[in-house]
Amino acid sequence: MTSKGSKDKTSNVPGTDPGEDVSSRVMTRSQDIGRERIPKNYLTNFKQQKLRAWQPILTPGWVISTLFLGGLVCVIIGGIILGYSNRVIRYSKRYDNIPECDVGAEVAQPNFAKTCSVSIDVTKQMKAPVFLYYKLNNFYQNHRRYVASRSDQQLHGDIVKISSLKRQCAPGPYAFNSTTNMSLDGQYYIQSAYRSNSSEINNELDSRLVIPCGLVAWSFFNDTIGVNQSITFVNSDNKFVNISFSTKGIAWNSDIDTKFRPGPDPPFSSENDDLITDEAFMVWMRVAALPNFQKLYGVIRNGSLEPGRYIFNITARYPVASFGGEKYLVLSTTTWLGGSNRFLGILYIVVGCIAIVLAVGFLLKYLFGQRAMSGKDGPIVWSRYEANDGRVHIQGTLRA
Amino acid sequence: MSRILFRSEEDLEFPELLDAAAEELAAASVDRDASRGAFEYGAGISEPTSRTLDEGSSRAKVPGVSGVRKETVKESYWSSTTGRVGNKALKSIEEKLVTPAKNLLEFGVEHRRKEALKKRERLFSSMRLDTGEGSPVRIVNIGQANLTYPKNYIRTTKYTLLTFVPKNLFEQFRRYVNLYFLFVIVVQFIPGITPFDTPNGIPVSSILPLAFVVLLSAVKEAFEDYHRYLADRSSNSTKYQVIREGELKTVPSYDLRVGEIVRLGKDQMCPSDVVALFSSHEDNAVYVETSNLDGETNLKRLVAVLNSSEDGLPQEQEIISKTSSLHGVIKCEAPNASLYKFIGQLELSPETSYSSMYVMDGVDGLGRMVDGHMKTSATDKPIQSSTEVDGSQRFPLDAKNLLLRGCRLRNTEYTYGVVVYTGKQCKLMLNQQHQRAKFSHVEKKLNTYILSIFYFLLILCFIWAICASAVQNNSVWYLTGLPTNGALIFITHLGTFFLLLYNMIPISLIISLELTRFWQKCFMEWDQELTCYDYSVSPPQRKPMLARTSAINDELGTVQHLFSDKTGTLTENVMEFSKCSVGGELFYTKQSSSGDHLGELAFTEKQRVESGIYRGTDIVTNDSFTNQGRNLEVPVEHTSPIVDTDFPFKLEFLRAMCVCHTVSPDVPNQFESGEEKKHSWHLKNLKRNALRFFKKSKADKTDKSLKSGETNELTDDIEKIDYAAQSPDEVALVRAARDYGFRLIKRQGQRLHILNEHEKTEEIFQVLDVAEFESSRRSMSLIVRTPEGKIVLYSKGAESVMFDRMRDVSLSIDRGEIATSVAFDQRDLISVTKKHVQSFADEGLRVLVFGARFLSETEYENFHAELERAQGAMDASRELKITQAWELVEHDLTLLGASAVEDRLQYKVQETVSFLQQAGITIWMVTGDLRETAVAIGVSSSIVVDPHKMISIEGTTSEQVMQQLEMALKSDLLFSGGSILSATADEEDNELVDEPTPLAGTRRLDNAKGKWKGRKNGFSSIQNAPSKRLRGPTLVIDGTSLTLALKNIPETFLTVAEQCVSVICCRATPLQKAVIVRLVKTQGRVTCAVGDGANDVSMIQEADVGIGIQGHEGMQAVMASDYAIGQFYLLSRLIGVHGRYNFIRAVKLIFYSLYKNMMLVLVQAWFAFFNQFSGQTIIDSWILQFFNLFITSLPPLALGTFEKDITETTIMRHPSAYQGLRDSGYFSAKKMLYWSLLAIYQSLICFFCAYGAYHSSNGVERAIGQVGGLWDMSTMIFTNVVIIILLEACLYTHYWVWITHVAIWLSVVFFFVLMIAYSYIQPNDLIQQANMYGVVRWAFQSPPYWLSLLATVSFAMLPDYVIRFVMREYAPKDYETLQVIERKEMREDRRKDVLESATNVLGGTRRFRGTSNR
Repeated sequence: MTSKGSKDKTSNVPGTDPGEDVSSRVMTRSQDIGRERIPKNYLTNFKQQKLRAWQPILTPGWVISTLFLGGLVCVIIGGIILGYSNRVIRYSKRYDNIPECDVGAEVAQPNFAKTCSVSIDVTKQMKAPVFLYYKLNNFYQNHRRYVASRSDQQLHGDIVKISSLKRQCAPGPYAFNSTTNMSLDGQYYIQSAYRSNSSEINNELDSRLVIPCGLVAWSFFNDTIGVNQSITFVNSDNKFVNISFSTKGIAWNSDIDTKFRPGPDPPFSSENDDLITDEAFMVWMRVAALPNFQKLYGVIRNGSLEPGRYIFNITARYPVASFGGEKYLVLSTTTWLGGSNRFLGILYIVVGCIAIVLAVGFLLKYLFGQRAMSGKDGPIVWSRYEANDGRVHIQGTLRA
Repeated sequence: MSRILFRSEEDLEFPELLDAAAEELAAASVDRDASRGAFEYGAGISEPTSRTLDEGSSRAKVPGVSGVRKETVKESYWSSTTGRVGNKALKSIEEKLVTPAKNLLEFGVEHRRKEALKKRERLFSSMRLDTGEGSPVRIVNIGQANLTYPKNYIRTTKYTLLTFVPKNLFEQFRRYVNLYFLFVIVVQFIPGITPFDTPNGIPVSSILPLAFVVLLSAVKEAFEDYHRYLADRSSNSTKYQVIREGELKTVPSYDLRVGEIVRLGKDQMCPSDVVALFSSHEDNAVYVETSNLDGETNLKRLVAVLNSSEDGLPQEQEIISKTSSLHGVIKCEAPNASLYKFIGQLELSPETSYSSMYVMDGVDGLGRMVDGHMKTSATDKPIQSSTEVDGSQRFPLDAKNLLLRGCRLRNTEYTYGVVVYTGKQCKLMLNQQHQRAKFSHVEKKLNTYILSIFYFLLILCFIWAICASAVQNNSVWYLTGLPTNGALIFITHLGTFFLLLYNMIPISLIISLELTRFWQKCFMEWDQELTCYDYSVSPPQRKPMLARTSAINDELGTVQHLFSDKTGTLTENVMEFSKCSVGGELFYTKQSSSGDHLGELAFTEKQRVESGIYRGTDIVTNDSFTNQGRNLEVPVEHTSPIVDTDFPFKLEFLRAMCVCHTVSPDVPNQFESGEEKKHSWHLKNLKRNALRFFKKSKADKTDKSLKSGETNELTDDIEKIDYAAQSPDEVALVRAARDYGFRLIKRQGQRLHILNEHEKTEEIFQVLDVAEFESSRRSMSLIVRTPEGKIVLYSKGAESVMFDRMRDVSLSIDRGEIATSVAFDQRDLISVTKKHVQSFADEGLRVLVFGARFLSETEYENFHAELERAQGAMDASRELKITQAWELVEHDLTLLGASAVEDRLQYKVQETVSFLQQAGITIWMVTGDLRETAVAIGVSSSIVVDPHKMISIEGTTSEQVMQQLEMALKSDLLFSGGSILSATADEEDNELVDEPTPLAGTRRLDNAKGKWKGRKNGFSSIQNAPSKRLRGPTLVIDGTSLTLALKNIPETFLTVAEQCVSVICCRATPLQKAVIVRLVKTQGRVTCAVGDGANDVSMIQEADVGIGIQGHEGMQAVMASDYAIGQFYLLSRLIGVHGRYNFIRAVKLIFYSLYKNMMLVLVQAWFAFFNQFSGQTIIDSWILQFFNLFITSLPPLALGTFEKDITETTIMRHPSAYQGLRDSGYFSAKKMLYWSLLAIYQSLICFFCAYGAYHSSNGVERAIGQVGGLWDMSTMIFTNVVIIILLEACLYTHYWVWITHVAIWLSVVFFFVLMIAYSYIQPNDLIQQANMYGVVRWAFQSPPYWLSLLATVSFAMLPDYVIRFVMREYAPKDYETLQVIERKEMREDRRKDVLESATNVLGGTRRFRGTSNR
């Protein structure tokens, strides 16, 4: 092959004049035909993958502005949250370590209880509503077996078969021996509030259903705070003023309305129904997410709590020492955010600051940096060329 | 093909058979050159044996290898063979074979021949009876139903009604994924382990998705199987006529038995494998169409063994009576799968003598019995003859006599045959292998990723379970009844955590991958631009792209090596006679001079003598070899004289072109369609006319004048004759001969009727023997008895073979009328012709060299006897023996000339090749052609980028090949090619042309290499200007060397090959093609094979991606392929556009699916830190199932279906982007790690932000002081997870069509709707733990829920957002740079459009304003 020949070949290279070599019987004009056959409806555009599309690119302008604006918004929101969080007034007092309130490590006898009084000094005025919480530390309400050990069907007032109850409430108590009043595995003494009043259902076992069954219901927090739902305020004159609180409206509406219902007569006793529809019980049954949790006990709806000492009379029954638990009394106000939520505020400010710093950094880099792709020293060189149709096009090539 | 080889290996296991074969062969070769023949035989036979020893190479074809060696090593063959093989087993075989052969030389020829024959007979009769499968010989009693063989019942269904459920379940649960999820379900049945809600102990939420998947594929399977069942039923119940008790009876197909005689009518499908006994045609022909077998729609001519009647057309009744009294046996091979091979013997017992029936039509000088068939394959003997042994007649049978199941009888009234194989044993059924399931590299990589995720999962489970046993304190009173034993806690929690985290391997991924692949397949098939139209038929035939599989769609986007067939793929396979060299002169045709290469040569107008049957010859004498560019105009009167005066061989050359072929003349199509009667009438008419004419023309030869009317009529008839053959080259040659005055008008039996228009005679040649063209011999030969009664051998073939066969001293020619006797030195002629041939090859033309030789009667006798014995051989050595027999006569030929046939390139081949090369694909042109032809086509199709840079490797031993490769490695040509791309544009092109030395090129490439290093940051391979081209060497290697190189030093070879832009592999047999592909594949490269013919099937099946071209060579390649396209040029779009999209879509889908599941599941893992590692789920079990099923199912599907990174225009403009995608680790483990880290980071943020917010507020999230709980926090976390995952999809999607928008925004809607709806479901028997009851409503009213969402999402998205931006801005990938370019270009175009329309509008307003101004 001579060099002349090769020159001939080079002129035949792609892009130059593709049409000339077509001398075949098998003509290929699919593109023309394709165009004729494509009606302008979306289905064919869909089939030909020619749907119109938006093709966003992370350009410096876009990224820097979103980072900056987003950061700014975050910092502002963070500031607002922090501001509101600081308005929340909250006092808490541990009381399980007070000797009079110490009920020991384990559940002792059914009716064993200790009474004691706990005082909280309020230094700022707390406007109603003021919420009374109890708080447990190191109590794993979110333990897998604990969470699952309940029967929502039963709490809903349905009659559940004993086999199903056993599966749902295991390893907690689900049935008891009516003669001993002990659970079938002999682990628990079933208090009267948990006893069903029918032996007919499971007479072959000579046992009765535990209503409500399961670990969660059975470990219901049963300390009583206050006397007749009132606490004592020691005012500046050292006079004792009784301030009453409400235990209604502490559970979720959905729980009160639907989820917890008194059951039909045969297995459920009135004691069962009382327990199930007790709002404090509902609050307890809504298991906490974390091992340290607080639960609403009562609400002071009227008036405000003036600074001074508040005394709570507590009947303690609930043992926490065995698992290193702690019991607290909490008195707190809320804002529209709920309780104090400094974490969220700080999170927003941190995220916002990072974004702003990045935005500024990129901006500086973009303005003064060397190799930003779309910048003036980027790898693409733009050139103009005239196409066959006579129009001038802009084409990108790479800077070597 | 492989089956044939296996067959031969089996045969070799019978030592007696081998001995017999050896003796026979020795005897055969004695006649010519005893010792040489024996040696060659020994060498030849050692080939298959060595292959049995070497598993890997067992598919290499014998003839190709041995043929090559014979050429190059010649007499020193023996020593080199032993030296090379050096194997004990082989030696023993050689001793067995060769020693007796040597000894035998001392005996007389006749004696030996008889001995060999006897031995074969003995062998044949001593073999065990075929009782079904496995044993070598089957004996079929003609006319008796043999009950030991199965009925002709066919069942291709996979299942029956009974076995469907168990078998399908078994099949499905053999898949690891299904097994995994089954295991998950089983574990959940263990009480106390599962973290999920299991109503009544049944893990419904995990069973449902798996059941859905399993059911779906079961329905699909059942549907497919039912269709198979219907097809089976219809084929089983088709009625056939069978001779039972002396008369025809109609029975259903399934009732047929081996041995029965069946009648096939016209257009009937053959129900089983049948040996044809009688045919309605007088010449025993049976025409069949085999589109069911090989997809070829042309008719094939088979031959019935027995003549149905002595005179005239046979009567059917006569046949029936004859067949019912027919007694005999057919001995044949046990059932095997090779469609084109059948060895058998028909033995008629003495009481039914058919000698009278078996009489030849026509003259046969030797008195032998000749049947009419001509179209023979090389392995088959052309002439069927019987031998008599012990009074019984024996007829050899081969594939020519066997009607295969599935073929359809055409143009034949009826045929009678003996059923030999039935049912499952039919060759068609044995051939029905299910195609090898191919897995894409993406899928293989995906499997490793999944496996590593699985290990990660296991490790997490272990650590968490250990923590559980260490941390958990179950002895507290509120947890009574739980295990307190650490070991027990460990074991149960292992299960718990596995169940909690198993979704890290998503079942949804498998489903969505299938779904998107289905869409991808649809998109490819819908694509108008992948559809081409065949305008050669009317109306134009639409050839859409066919995706026959969707499992490897993404493989198209990662192709590294493209193996292309040449003929029919790169070239059109439309052959046109272009040039010839006769007697040292070059002749051009008109057409050829319009091609590129002859553009500067003038040409004469086509000259045609209008009156008479002369057709003016298109041949133009051109003494271009001596003084190039000058051209002799030939006047009209001079037209015929140039053919017969100047050089005596011009006529002879044309005659050879007209005689030496296997073409059969055919009347045009319009007569075949429908009107059979008219057709046959026409044929008869034609025949009669022709005869009349010839009688006349002979009589009137002297005055040369013809009655014009009659001539015209005749010409009309004859003009309509067209030619059909398997090889288009031959047709081109015969057509050329016709145009230049030698018109083949009829092939009747063994006689060729040729109209010599120069001398106005009809010449009738009696064909005596044919050796068809065969790739190993690279030549074909034909022995004819001329009209004058002389015996002439015509031979044509590749120049390398043919020039060796030429006699170089002198030649004499003595042919009837010309009767000139010339004797001269042929050496000059040969050397001149060689030069011509070289120039032909350089232009990419197909060259055939013609030779002829006169044979004396005795010489022919000897040869023919030898050939007959070779054809009688019943074993694998038959082929070899036949070749050797032919070698007895194929020597000392007289050179007649050389013809060149042009093979035109397909549409846009150069552009496509160039596109693919720029895309970084190494193109391998794999062809059986000569090195020169292959290179020439390579140059013209621009596969060879730079003709100055070619590395040529040619060796017969691995040492030689290795040496040459090392030389190539050391040379300058390589490695500078690492920067295959030339950096700047056109000036350099000129440079190259000006400086033809490779050195100049190298120097410049070194510069480019520097640049390459300079811009290391990614945008390395982008090419923009279309004028820029690849530079790089081409490797040229022949098939044998290539196989050696790949087998022994694959790494070295591939290093060399990948430094080249292309590889040309010449002289490769079809099986070598497959071997090459496999060897490249085993080196971890992604291979793609494209081809159009049956010879590419093995290659197509072997490659990672097989692409079939729907060409003119039947449908076999398409049937074997994964994707089929209409033409080669569509490849750039298929691979570049669809391959790319499929790849990025699959990758994005996979990464995204893995990421989203990992992200979700890891949140669970972090929660374990706060619940004593008890394994509590933070997300409700039903919501967890909703997650993959509804909430996040659409975005990955949208990604996998509609995503594009750059538009089609950009892809086609910048082909190198393909390479960038493939090599830049788009689907690398690094990327997988990035996604995993992202999932870990985001899940941590998700969990701990919610934790912080919840912990900080003590769960008080509303002004009413109520406290949330576990499920409140769960909602918060899950919302964060979902929103982050959806936002990640937004960030990952580049191409937003409206469907993508819908998918993503609909997911958000789904999420909220589902969550709200779910939170209203009260506890019931299915959802016993109504954990989420009321929760979502409550959460939606709490401000921290929404506030934490914004903060968490921002925090989680920030790093990915920034990293994406930084990577794009400071280390852009090719496609990212292209996106920027594309966007700017698009905006520019849009701006122009707006401007244009604006000026149009303005034009209007200006006029308006103009008037108002006035």
